[in-house]
Amino acid sequence: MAGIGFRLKRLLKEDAAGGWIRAHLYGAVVSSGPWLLSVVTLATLSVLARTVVTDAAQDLFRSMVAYTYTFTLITTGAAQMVVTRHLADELFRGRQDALRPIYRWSVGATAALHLLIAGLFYALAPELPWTLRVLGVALAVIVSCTWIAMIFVGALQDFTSVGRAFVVGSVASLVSALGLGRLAGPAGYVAGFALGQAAIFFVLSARIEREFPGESADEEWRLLRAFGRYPDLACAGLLYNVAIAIDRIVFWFSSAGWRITSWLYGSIYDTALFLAYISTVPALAVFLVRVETDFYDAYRAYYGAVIKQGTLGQVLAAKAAMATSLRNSLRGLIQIQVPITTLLVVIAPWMGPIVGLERAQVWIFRAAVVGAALHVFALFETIILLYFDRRKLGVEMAAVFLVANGSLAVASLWLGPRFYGFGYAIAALITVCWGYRRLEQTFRDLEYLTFASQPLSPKIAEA
Amino acid sequence: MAEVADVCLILEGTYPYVTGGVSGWVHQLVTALPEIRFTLFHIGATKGETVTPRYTLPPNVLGVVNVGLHGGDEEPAPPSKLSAEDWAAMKVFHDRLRDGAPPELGALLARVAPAPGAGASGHELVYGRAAWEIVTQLYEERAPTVSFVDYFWTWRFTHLPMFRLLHAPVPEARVYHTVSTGWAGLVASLVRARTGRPVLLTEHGIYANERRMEIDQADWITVQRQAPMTLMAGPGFFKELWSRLFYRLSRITYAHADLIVTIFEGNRVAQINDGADPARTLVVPNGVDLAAFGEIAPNPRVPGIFTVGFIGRVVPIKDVKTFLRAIRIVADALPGVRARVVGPVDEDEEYANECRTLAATLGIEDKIEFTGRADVKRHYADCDVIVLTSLSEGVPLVILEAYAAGIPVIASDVGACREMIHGRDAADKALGPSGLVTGIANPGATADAILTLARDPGLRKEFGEAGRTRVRTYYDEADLVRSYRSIYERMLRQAGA
Repeated sequence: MAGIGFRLKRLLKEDAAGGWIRAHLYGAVVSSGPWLLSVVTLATLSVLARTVVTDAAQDLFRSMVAYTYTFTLITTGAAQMVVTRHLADELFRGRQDALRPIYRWSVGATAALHLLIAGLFYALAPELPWTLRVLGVALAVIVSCTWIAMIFVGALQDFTSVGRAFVVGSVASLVSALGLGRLAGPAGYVAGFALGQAAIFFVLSARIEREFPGESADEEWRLLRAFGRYPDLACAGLLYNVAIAIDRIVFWFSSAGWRITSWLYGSIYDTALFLAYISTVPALAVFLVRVETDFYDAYRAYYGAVIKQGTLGQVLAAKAAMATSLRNSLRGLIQIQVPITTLLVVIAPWMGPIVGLERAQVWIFRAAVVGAALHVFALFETIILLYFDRRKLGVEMAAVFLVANGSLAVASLWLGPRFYGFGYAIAALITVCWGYRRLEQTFRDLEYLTFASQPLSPKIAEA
Repeated sequence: MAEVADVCLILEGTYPYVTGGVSGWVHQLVTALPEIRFTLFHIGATKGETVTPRYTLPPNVLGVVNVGLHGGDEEPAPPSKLSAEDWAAMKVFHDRLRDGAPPELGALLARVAPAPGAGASGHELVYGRAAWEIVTQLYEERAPTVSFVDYFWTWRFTHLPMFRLLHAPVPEARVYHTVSTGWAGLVASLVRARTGRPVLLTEHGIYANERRMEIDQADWITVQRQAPMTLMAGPGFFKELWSRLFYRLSRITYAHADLIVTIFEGNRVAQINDGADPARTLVVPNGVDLAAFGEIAPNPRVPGIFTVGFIGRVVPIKDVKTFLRAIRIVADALPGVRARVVGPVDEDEEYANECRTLAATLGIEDKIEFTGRADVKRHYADCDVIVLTSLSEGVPLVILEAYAAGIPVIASDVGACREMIHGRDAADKALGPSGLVTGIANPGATADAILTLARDPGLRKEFGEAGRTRVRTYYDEADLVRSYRSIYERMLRQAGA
């Protein structure tokens, strides 16, 4: 029976599901890692560097780093998800040899693109000294390439060495920023930080190149075609990364923001938000583990019942087991995240001064902590939707978050400082509810989606 | 098409694209009835496939519309505004089919697809939620212990052609004539249910039986694993499902055809067993060109030589090997026997070679001649008797030709052979036998029959005369044409009224 779907089969094949399914998961969790680590690095730096550089230089530096992280996530957003999926597809086809060429091409293209974008950006910021402008471009290239490297790190599934790369790189960033800052002022400070980040990238690259030594021609075209095949993933990646940045961008250019120099703006909103993100680390870890162990087995059992000629009753039973497992994962997540969030909300006024929050930022921080917790739930809903290959819903989730986060940021600005941060929290809440509904629908219709959405003729994604 | 045809012939995998018995028959019919304007609706295997006609269409064929059953996907279409009751009617239709009740296709179509392009699209029927509900409901009710993924895909593959035909652009005509049941029969039934135009069915071989034989041999249908605790699903469950589909298509066609014609009595009985209303059945046998074969004059005989003819393709279904073994047995008693196998040897070369080797092994290669493709008339002139050992037949033309030439026949008991030799009804039987009937794959019986006729020239003459009378009375090609002319005329009047 030729029509029995290629897509269904690939879902069952031993490591096939592991391929793109896990890739999305690792992609999300793993890319949160460096993001959080850099927030920690920045926070530590801002405490330790008080004696090294002036407050104005600190502000400038923080703003440059914030811009770099924010905008490189957006500019690599489309590529992130498509490359993730393309990689998983190629691994599914057993084309390990394609990985190194894909890595080199995507890093090369990313570097070139960001040289151009960041170059243009800093060229239009003549008030900055040229050393900082050059360093700014370098930092943008390094960070954007690191995002790409993180995708391939997902395929490595070797978190120890990746973790080590980040810890070592972050410490290097700290030490060299402080050291070079003392020697050469603000430029040295930025250069030192960039050096540490570069170290992370090169260690990761070396690891990837060692793991995937293969060579293969024409991979760039196959990679390009993947963009044509997964426009929805490109769209979801881009929208999501715009969505998580839109509130901060709105604040920069509002009355609550201030201009640091040229195009660089800051706001009281930034720091509170960055710190709030850190509170989600335990939830991320728990989710990763639970999904890996419990849910993933249930997921495989479901598709196993489908492919291995189970009865509809068996398929439905496996679906119910999978739903139970997912509920358990969510409960585990709630059990760990709710106490942490509550604690942070309560102790915020006392904790604030220690981590460098001003009085005005305490309420923003409180709202943002709640928002970040909800945000993590929304992210997980999206990942689960992608587990079931509901890519359009992935786009929809990102779009909902983008619209809500953007418009509520504007609304909170209009309502006044007392409401800063609540826009983000409510936007995340809306997205969580939206995602919950979508997940419910997906589960309700899962067997229908599994069978009836299969194409009639096996249109195998071009080999 | 500006001009509305008198008769739309609904054809499935045959005329004008494939040569063979049924195609030859259709060509004979349309050529012999120049006053009837025909249009052809041909159902091919693959969507969008281009094929070249193998026949030159006579001028009274106004055009050909082609559709394909398989391949490609359904174009996305906006969902129809069908109500839950409309969809529930689909389930009722299935239940009635299962219970053997008359299929109420018209009532269903009025709700679900009142006209081609209206109602539920193919896309909705394949991918839609409501269709899915019906499939799972049927599964839970009827086969909850079989592999669902196989059930689902079997459903898709069996129903997809229906969904496509539901919206097929069948040309307008005053009368519809389908030359088989199956998919073509379904199209005719759709037209009948929607427009009330009269439908004629001519079934040469029993379609559902032929499909069943194919399905039994198919290796692409999942054999259901016998799960422990499974009571109802045997290993042949999915083959059964396929096979049942075709029986149901036949039932639907029988229910909608105004007249059900077949070519011999045995088939008519099979149709009635499969649900055809006896009152609407009719036998119109195939005919032979009496003039062409009647004028064959026997060649002068060589004393002591007895020539046995085997006219047919050298393929397994004709069971040439049984014929060769029979000749071996005859040769022991009658050294003067000579045999001719007249027919193409290139259709199954492996089998043909096996036959030659067998002849050599049996030591009769000097008595057997494989002529290959040849002018059969020349060989009839030399033959004293014609033998058929086929495993399956309809109304074999070779028997009719032999009769026309006044030659007695020995045939295995398949298809119409018995009634062609002993007579169909009382008047036919009164003509006396025109040959001998033997068991299939029975060289001894065939040899006995050959020897009986070889030793009794009087009997040969008697049989030959009976055959000649029989073919003139019942199997005249002109009669066939006359029968269809009058059927068409009657139906056209019915359509006009």
